[in-house]
Amino acid sequence: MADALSLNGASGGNSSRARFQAEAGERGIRALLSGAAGTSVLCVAGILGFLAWFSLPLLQPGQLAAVLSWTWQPTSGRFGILPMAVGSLLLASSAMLLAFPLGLGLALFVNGLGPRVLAKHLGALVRLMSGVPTVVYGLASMFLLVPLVRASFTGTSGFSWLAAMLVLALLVLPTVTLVLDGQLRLVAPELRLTTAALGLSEAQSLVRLALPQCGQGLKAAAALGFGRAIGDTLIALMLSGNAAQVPHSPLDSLRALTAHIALVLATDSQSQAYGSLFACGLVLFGVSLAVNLGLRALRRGPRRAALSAHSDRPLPGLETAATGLAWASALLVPAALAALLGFLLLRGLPTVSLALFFGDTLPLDALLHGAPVFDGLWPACLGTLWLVGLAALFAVPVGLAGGIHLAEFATGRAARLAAFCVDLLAGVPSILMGLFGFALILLLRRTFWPSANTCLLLSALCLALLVLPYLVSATRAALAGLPQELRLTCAALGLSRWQAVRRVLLPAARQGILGGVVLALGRATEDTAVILLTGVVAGAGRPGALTDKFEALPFTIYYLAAEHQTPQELNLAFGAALTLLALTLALFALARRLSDGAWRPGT
Amino acid sequence: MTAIVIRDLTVTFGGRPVLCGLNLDVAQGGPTVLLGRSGSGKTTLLRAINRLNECLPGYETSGSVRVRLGGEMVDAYGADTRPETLRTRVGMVFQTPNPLPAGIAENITLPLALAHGLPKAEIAARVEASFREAGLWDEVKDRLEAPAASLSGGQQQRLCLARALAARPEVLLLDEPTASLDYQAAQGIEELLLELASRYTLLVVSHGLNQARRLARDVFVLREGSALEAVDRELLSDPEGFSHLMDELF
Amino acid sequence: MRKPLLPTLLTLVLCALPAYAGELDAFAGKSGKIDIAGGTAHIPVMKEAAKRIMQKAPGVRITVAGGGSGVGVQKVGEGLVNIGNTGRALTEAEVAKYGLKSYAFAIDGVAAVVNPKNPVGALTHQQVQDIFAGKIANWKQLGGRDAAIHLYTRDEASGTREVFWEIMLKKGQIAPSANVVASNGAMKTALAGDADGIGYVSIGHIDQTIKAPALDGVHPSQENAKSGKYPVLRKLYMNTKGEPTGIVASFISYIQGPEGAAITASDGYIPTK
Repeated sequence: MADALSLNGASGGNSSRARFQAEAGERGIRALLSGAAGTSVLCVAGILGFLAWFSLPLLQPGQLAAVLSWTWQPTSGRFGILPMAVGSLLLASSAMLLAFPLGLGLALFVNGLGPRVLAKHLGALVRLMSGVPTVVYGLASMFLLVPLVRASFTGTSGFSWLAAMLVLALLVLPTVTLVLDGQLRLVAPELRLTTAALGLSEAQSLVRLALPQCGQGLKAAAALGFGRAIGDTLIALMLSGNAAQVPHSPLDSLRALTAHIALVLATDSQSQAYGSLFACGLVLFGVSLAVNLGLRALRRGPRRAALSAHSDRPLPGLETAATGLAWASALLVPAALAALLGFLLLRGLPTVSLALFFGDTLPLDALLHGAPVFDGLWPACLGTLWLVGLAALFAVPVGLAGGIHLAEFATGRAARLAAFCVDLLAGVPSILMGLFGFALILLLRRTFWPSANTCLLLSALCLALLVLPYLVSATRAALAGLPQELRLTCAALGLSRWQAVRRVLLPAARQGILGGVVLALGRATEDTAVILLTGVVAGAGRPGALTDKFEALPFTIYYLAAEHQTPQELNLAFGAALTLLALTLALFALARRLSDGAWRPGT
Repeated sequence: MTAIVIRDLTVTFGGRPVLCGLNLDVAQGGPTVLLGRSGSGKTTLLRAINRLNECLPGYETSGSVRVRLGGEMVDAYGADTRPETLRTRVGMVFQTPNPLPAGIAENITLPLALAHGLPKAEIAARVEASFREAGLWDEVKDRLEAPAASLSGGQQQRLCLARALAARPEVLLLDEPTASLDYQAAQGIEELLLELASRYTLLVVSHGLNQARRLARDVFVLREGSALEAVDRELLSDPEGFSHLMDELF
Repeated sequence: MRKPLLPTLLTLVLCALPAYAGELDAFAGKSGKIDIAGGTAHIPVMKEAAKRIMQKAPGVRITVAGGGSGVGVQKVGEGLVNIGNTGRALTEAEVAKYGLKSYAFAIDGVAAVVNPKNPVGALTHQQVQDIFAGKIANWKQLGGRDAAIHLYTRDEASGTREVFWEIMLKKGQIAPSANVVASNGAMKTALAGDADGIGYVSIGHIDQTIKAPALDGVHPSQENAKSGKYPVLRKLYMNTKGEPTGIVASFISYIQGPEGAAITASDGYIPTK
């Protein structure tokens, strides 16, 4: 310490060298950190680059028109993607039309319009809903909702816009609710005592004063929900029928851009059909970009300070309407969830046994001697564990480092660019990550690595890219949530920036960071779209080498749901769904426990 | 005539007792000033009168609170007394000014429209009247649409007072109304309160003996939530008794 | 010219020997991996073969993926898998571009199928064409109940689809409103649940969960396919890039050999000889 404080540095070559080394070390670490943050920029550039490169053939005269047309019939040489673009838009918008009011109703219910006891439990339920894997919703809906739609309406096979829209709404509901709830929580309690003293009821306070204050939150919830809805692959793939047409009614079949990519990837890579896939990718990327820019504009926009002159027309009945909406949501959403999950339990619980995991092989043989397991979930469980473990290995250090950099060291335009790219990456549909991975392999094969192949390693890398934004954001938020005084204290004590981060700030923020890590793990566990395109198969057995194909639980569920040859195989799907659900819910609950423990001074 | 009668009031929050078996008679007019150490439960006592404690979690109460409204003693916790109605007739001003996130005039009109359900003409009439009563009219008459947050601290507190007055309450509860104001603003509010006492019953929680000396007609001291002691006003003027009370309380 | 007898006899015996040695022995002690992708009609046979081989030779890893015939061609052509399965013959362009070699191992028919609850038991060629073109839209026009017909078709990568479209539909139109499913298995699942649905699957996939109406009086069965009475036929091919070597070659001979033929037959296809 005394050496560091010496002003002229003349107290010996040793100390100045030590100081130089310390400074160099600090600079080196900072360079590493900023490099980590830079990976997000690289990724975005990479994805955009690939999409653009592979769409280049479209720029030839006439090709663009061919792709931007209304008929998709490759056998007659028609590669129009417009029906799919419309399909995605219709599906996402209609899902939001349903999810937004319901989400608003739930947020209102939880923040005062409902009885406190129920509100607490409903809040917990909504948070838990975020942990339900998409493929599990898809499975339960395929065998519960689709037959229901088919039976309730004439002229529909059940696989339709309607079925996909209903489940998609349920999927994005938690996003909408949690954003709104977060905002209301900030605004409503402050106002409550004031308005109560004036004789306003809780409903009036919430609806007339708190909610209008949340204008930005409402828009943000809409944008985030829409982004999530349009980026979803599994629900559209499993439930919407996939007819490449513009639907005339909600009972018709439609195809979304994301499902289109998943379905059509299997064509000649030089063909127009293939090029059109990347055009789809560009459209999707463009939508994510637009949503992201919209959200940024919201954040920067002026805060709504005052209400406009509402009291001229008090709109009687607004409170009744809001209360009605709140109760309707509080009844409908848990009911829908209970129906789907109850159905899942009904079909899945009877299958839970050792045979579910090990088939005909003896468990000990499989566990200890590596005996191959057929018709059991064990290889898929192992595959998922390996996949998520590898993805974490890649993503956690980079994500944490990037988050630390953005929270503590970053300044200037480079930092803003990196932060923007992280947000953009967070909104990129997962199927695009898979497309990127697949295209990467093709590129590698044609250039310096002819034997490159889709495999466990590739999937893990792409999954790592998928969850990177979660890690960066969680780390950033956790560090940003620490009081500024802490940093000032460290500086006043003579600690260098990195020392402060490493010894004081990171330990203080560890719970939030850990929560983010676990959340990222959960996301990696449930993903299906990325691995679909980068190496997962249905019958690979235990994962061998990193360059092998592999099995994974989410894909097994999807595969068995769509293509089971026997009723036993379908039961396997339900058992797998229960297993995956248990896994992700456990991870999710753990994440909640960890991030709830806020740092307090003196702990 | 008594305006507020409290008998055997006990309030607990999450099992922790804040007020125990309190009795209080507040006469009409006043101002009646409530003194006590911080944490002794003065705010809770005030909030027990307009039932604002019910908005806070873990709250339990027993005892009776009766308020003279419209010439009759009304049981504040009675089965046929709606809290919202009670609060429209018993006004409250908080320690920190708390304007609604709305325009200046809207702070007055919104509660009147929503909580009182008054017609537009009546509301418009009360706006100017309450601002004048609070001594704020000249300062705001040209910017009634401006956001209330654009007013200074003292002005905001007057706005809150005007807002409370607009409801035409019979009783006004004021919780350390000048605590967050500078000297000038505080003085202005105190003068206003003395003037309002001729028309309304005022119960004021105060943070200082000096303010009590300036404002009060009756003084009560709350000790640790359980004992309420009337203090003779003359004691406040007597320097010895005053310093004795000071030592005791602070 | 007089052919030397002994060498010929010896050659014949030597050639016959592998047929008598158990084909699985070719894998004994070997290790390596075989990645297979492509036609979904092939999957049951591939999976069963893989299971037997992996049980015999734990060092061998075989993965089986679907995706349709288009995937099979693309992946094996790009070198992403060792064997690409197709349910149709390769086009000249594909052979030229990738240098693929084809090995047929089964004959399979493609039949229009409906839900078992559907009373319609027989259809004509023309009716099937009209149904899939969307011209016949209600089952009652065919003697069934009064309900709209729900169409199911396969994605463009499907060899099954190609065969059905070329031979059954005579390259006619498939209505754009048809639901698209990604494999034979998915088609079965969809139709097993939809009482008013119609689609098409490989005959080897037909079981009691779906029903194949007679086509022009001929019941779509493998026997009728074998005898040629049922016209909508195709061969199932395994394709490799260039000549197969090592365990990939062993796998192909296994499938084409007697044990493979037994698996093929038991899964409902007709092994080629």
